Amino acid sequence: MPSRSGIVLLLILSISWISCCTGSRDGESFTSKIRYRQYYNNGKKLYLNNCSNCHQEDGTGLARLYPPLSESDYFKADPGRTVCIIRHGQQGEIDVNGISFNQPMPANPGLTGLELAELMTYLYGTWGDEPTLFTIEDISGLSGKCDQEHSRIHNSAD
Amino acid sequence: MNWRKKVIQPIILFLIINAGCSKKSNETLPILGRKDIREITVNGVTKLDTTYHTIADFTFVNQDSMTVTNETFSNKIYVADFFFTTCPTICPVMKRQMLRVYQQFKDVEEVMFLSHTIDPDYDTVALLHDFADRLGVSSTKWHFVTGPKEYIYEIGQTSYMVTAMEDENEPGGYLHSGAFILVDADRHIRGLYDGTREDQVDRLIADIPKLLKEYAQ
Repeated sequence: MPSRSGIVLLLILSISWISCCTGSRDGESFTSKIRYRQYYNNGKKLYLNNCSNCHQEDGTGLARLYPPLSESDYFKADPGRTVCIIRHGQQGEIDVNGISFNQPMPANPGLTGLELAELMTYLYGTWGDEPTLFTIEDISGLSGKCDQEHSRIHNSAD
Repeated sequence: MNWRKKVIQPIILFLIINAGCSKKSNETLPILGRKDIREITVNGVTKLDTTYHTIADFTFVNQDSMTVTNETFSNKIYVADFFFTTCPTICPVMKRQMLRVYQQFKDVEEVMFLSHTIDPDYDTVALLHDFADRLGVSSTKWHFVTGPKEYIYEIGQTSYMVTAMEDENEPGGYLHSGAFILVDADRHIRGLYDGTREDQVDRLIADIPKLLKEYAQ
């Protein structure tokens, strides 16, 4: 039969373990950490299925043909622009780390808001400055302007 | 004593059987494609004459606007493929793999590369030039060629034995094979490799020296 002080000690240790070791840095909750992991892992699958052909599994791109995402000033500078490029594609010359690239990137109209959120979480979690959870609301906010612009162009073309 | 016999005998048998298998890696490469064997009589002696599948004569324009023909590749062995610059799926992988092979044999004069575009309407000479330039390769070693579409498709299918055709259901609009074809100095096909698979391209990189050795003798 364990002693009372033994049980109290165990209880104290358990509580401190739960509060210290299960992610309460910066007030982050346990559940949001899990959510980040889920988005990140799903995003990785999306990346491998849709993007790694050109940008490569390690994000280093290919010669001066396909730009890198890893250590890329262009990529890090503007996540909003990244969402727009993924969704609508891009054409024209861009400068990445001082090198010029000019290969058209195809659009990915089939990706849902959730998939974009997961993909962005993976992209910036891997090659951004710090891990960030992108939510569906974040994606709507970031892509609002370019979505409008895109449908304006397409509607006027009809 | 009995259990030792039961274990050792099968092991010895296994080793004997496998000893014959290891020699494969040193054999010469086969000649692929249909071959015709006919009986011919020379000076009264009848013998068998084999004609192997050969790449047809060709004429294309490369990324420097230069005319490239089979003569450009005489006395060379080369790796051929079919692609198009806006291809979103297999071509980027193929180009990366082909670049690996190129880097490996960059300083070997006898090895060349021939990439045909299957979308000559979009892939102009200027575009191919830009593409090759951005890939970082020399145009005298790796030719990116264009020509009449039907002609390219035909040579792809009949000479190189790979498919290429327009398909509106495919992303990019074309359905084509990701094969790399290894051709020797006699215009015979000596190997077919899936250019999207790293292990098969490793095999190509290992096969090229075997072919070079054959011609060095």
